[in-house]
Amino acid sequence: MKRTLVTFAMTAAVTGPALAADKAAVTQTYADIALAGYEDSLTLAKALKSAVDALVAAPSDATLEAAKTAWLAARVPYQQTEAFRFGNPSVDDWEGKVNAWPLDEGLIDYVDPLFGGNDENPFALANIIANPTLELSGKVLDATTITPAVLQDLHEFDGIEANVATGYHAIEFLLWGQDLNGTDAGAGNRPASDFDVTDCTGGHCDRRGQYLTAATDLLIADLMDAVALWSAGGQARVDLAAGDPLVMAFTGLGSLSYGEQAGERMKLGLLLHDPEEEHDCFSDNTHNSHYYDGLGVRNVYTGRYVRIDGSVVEGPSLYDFVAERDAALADNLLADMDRTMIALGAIKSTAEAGTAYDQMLAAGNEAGNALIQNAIEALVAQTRNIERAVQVAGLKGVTVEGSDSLDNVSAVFE
Amino acid sequence: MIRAIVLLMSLLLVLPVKAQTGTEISKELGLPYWAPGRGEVDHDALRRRSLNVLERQYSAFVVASEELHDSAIAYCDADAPREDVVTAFRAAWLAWAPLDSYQFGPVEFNGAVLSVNFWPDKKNFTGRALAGLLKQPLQSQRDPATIAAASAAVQGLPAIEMLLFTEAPECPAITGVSGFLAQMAQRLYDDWFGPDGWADLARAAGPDNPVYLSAEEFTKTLYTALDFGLIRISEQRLGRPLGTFDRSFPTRAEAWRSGLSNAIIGAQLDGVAAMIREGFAGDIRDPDRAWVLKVIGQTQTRLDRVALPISDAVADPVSRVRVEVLKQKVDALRLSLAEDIGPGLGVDTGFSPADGD
Repeated sequence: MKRTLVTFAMTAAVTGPALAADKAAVTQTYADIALAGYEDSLTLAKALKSAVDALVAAPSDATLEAAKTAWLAARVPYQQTEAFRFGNPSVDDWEGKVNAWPLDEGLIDYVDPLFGGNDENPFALANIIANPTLELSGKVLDATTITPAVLQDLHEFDGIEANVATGYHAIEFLLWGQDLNGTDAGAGNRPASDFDVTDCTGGHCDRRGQYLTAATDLLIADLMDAVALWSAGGQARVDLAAGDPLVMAFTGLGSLSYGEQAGERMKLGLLLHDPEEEHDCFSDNTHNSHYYDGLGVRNVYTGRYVRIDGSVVEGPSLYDFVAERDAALADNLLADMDRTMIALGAIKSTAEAGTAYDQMLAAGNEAGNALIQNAIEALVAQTRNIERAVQVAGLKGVTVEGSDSLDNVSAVFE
Repeated sequence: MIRAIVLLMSLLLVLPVKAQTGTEISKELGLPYWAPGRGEVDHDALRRRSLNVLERQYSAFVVASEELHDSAIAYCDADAPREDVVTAFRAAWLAWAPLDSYQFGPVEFNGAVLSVNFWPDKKNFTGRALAGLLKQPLQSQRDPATIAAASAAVQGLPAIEMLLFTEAPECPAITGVSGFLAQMAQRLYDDWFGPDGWADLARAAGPDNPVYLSAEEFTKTLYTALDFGLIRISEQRLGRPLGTFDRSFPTRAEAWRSGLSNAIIGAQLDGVAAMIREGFAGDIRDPDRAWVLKVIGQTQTRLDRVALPISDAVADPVSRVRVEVLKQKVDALRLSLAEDIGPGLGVDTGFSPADGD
C-alpha cells in the first residue's frame, strides 16, 4: 500500500531573499545519494555472485561462509537505499523483486513442515528445487532448468505475496536455511553439503546450486535496473522533476519510518513474539537491516552518504532546506533521528554481543522487548516531525491556494 | 469545474433546509452551524466534539467486550445458549469496527490494532498460536493472564472467531481470550479518557506538547485516520479478497467464518460518518458536509447491494462486479474527503500505518 502525500493547502505566505538550499540543489543531492547507494548495492551483489560461484563450484564450509559474509556485506548499502522506496513510484514498483518479505520459503526448498506451512498459501510447501514443475489451474510452470526467467514467473506465484522466489531473502534462505531455533540462540544452519552434487544432503543439490546462481544473477540484473532509474535521465529523476521532489523525499522517509519499519517490521514481530516476523530471519541479521534502514533515512535528511569505499556523497540537504524556513523544526527532526539511531544502535550492539534479534523479541524477555519498543517509539516520534517537515517542503513560496469554500463562498459557484 | 458541480449538487440536496445563517443552531448538536465570514476552523471546538464521538465509541466497545466475556462464561460454565455468545461476539466486533480507523495514541502504544483484531493474517499466525494455547491446561486457557503473555494473534476477535466457527474446542479458551479482550477495551478507554489520558494530551495541544504542537495537528490526525479507515476498507477488506478476476481469495475476507465481513464495513463507514457529522460538524461548511455524508450513504447502499457475504461474492462472476463497484465507491469517497473535508479543515493527510506494505 502506498500513497503520495499531496501538498498541504497553505494559508501562509512565504517571501524573502533567495535561499541557499534551493530545491533543485537539494533534489540533486537526494538523487545522487540514491544513485551511489544502488551502485554500491550492485557492486556488492557482484561480489556476492563471485562467492556464490565459488560455493557452487566447490562446496565447503569455507566457501559457504564466504558467500554468507558477502551476503551480509551486500545488505549494508542496500538497506540504506530503502529510504528512497516509498516516495518514488518507480522504486516502489521495482522493490518487490529484490527485497520481498516475509516469504513462505517452502516454495523454494525443503523446510520443516511444522515451521514452514501456511494454510493461506497452497504453494507454501511446493519446494521447486525438488519438484521441477508446478501446476496452477491446468497451467504448468516448467522449472526443469532453473533460470532467472523461471524465478520471475515463480515470484508471487498465483498472486500470493508470500510466494517470494527472488531477491535478497530467497538467497538468504538458500545460504542459511531455516532458523529452527525459534526465539532461542542460533540462526539457520544449512550444511555446505546441500550444494555438493557428489555427496549431496537435502536432495537435488544440483538444482539448489542452479537456483542460487539464477537468483543471484537476477539480483544483479534488477540492481542494474535501479542504477538506471537514478542515472541521468532515468525514470526516478524524471519523476522527481515532474513532481514535488522534496515532498516525495519526505514521504519516503515518513512511510519507511512509520508504517513499514516501526509497524510492519518491528511492532508486529514484537507483539507476536514470533521470529517468523523477523526481517532477516534465516541469517539473524535483522539488527543490521533495521539499523541501516534508520541510517538511510538520516543520510537522506542530512544529505550525506558514506559509500562502501569510504568516500562521501554530500550536498545541500533536506535539513538545510527546512532549517532556512524553520530552524527549530530542522534541529528537532535531526535530534529525533539521532535518538532513533541510538535506539537502533542498542539493538545492534546487543545482537553483536550475542543476543540475536529473535531472542530479544521472545515472550518474557522484558529487556529485549524494551529495546525494540524503544526503537519503535523513536521512529514514531520522528515521523511526527517528518510530517511537519512535509508541510515546510510543500511551501510554494507565494500565497497559496486556500480553500475556495472557506475564503470565497461565491467563487465555488462560478 | 467538477468541484463546482459537486458543490452545486450538494446544495440542491440540502434545499429543503433553510439557507443557513450565523444564528441557526443544529438541533442534533446544539451548536451553531457554519458562521459566515469567520473564515477559520475552530479546532478547539472540533476537538471537543470529536472527543465526544470517540469517547462514545470506546465506551461502547468496553460494554460490548464485557458482555462477550460474561456470555462466554455463562456458556462455558452454566450451559447458557451458544447463540448468546455468537450475538455478543457480533456486537463486540461491530463496536470495534469504527475504532479500526484510529490507529494512534493508546491503540498504538498498547499494540491494540494487532491484539484486538489481528488481521489480515497472511501466514496463519492465529491458527498456529491457537494450537499452542489449546495445548495448555484448561485452567490456564481460561486465565486472561495466559492470553496476555501469548502472541497477539490469540488475543482478540479473530481468535475467538476461530474457536467459535471451527472444530476447535471453544471452552474454556473463549473465556480467557474474551477476558483479555475486555481488559484491553477498558485499558484503551482509560488511556484515552482517564486522568492524563490521550484526550487530555490533545486538549493541551500547544508548543510544549510532546505530540500536538497545535489544536490543528489533532484535527489533522483525525482527518488522516478517516482516510486511513477508508484505505483499510478499499485495499484490505475489499481489495485483498477480490484479487483478480481469474483468481479471487474468498478466505482473505475479514471475519468470513462468522459471516461478519459486510457488517464490519458498514459499521466502519457509520463511524466515519459519525465523526464528520458530529465531530467535524459545523466546522465543515454544510454543503460540503452534506455532500460527503450523502456519498457515505451511497456507499452503504452499494454495500447492501452486494447481498452475498464478501467471501462468496468475490468468487461469483455477477456479485463480484458489485464488490468492485463498492470498492470504486469507497475510493470515490476518499476523493470526496480530499476535496471537501481536508480543504475545509485546512489540513492534509499525514502518515498512517497504510504507508508500509
